[in-house]
Amino acid sequence: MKSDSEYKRTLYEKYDKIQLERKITRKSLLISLSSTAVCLLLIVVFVASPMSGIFGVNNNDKYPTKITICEGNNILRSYTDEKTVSEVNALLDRLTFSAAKSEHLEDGILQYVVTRYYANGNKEVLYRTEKNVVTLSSLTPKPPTSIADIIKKYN
Amino acid sequence: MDGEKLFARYLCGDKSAFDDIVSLYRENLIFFINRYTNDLDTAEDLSQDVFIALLMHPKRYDFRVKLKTYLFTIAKNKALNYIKKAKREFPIDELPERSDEYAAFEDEIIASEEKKDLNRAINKLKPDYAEVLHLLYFEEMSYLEICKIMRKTQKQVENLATRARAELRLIMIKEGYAL
Repeated sequence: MKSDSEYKRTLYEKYDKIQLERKITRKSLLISLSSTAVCLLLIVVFVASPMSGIFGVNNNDKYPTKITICEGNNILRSYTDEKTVSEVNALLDRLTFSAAKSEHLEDGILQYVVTRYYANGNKEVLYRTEKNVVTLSSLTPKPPTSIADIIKKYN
Repeated sequence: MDGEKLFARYLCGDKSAFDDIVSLYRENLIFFINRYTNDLDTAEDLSQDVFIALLMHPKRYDFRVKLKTYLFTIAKNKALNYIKKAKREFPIDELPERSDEYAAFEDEIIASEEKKDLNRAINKLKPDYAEVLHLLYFEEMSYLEICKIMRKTQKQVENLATRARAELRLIMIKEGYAL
């Protein structure tokens, strides 16, 4: 049995020890909570970032930033303006292309090389052959149905 | 000065008032807890835990009951948790080993020989009988206070005390203690 003073001394020592342990536990809990919060924040930032491409947020590989149309070695058009690129891209989507270049072309057939450049550095090269037809301007505007039409519409 | 006034003083910033609270209830708590643990050192440790609980959460005590009742309620919970953890049996089933240390403590806390006999007889009772009679005879608590500690209704405590007294009487006659 402890004496009254010894009892009180050990009681307060025990109390101080518990308080210290609680403080340490609280501090480590705070650290682990804040690191968890930082991790979560990083994940959210990564997911929400347009660069990440998760959940379709990334549009870098979906919409080009530049489109060029070439015929042989001539660059016919190079679109960099955002609005024009968007419109031309939408029109190109309606046309059919081949992934490979045709080696033998008949007379009067033109082969266009359309290149889409993306912000992430990727590019897509497509080939399309069309008859070299001089289109006459009509009074009623029609939506472009060929590369020639696009070139004509977007200078 | 009673415990409530001392605790109010402690809450007002008088740290020495807590020392007085410890001096006031220390031995009674050890004596009460020892009934469960049958080990004075453990009872002493657990009684310190009771005071630490009060220090850690002073606002949990709302002055609706006596401070003594509040401390004994914590003491009971601490003792039961300890027993559960240690997987020990209640000491009431067997005669507690009366070490010299315990005898000295008993001498210190129980003045009369009659009460010492009473304590020995109570030690032979079932745990809840021993608990109710301990609180009635040694702590001189009211049924209302015992209700709070035992978490029973007043009627249940009264019935328990009646049965415990009858059992105690039989033991005291059998053991030849003075009635």
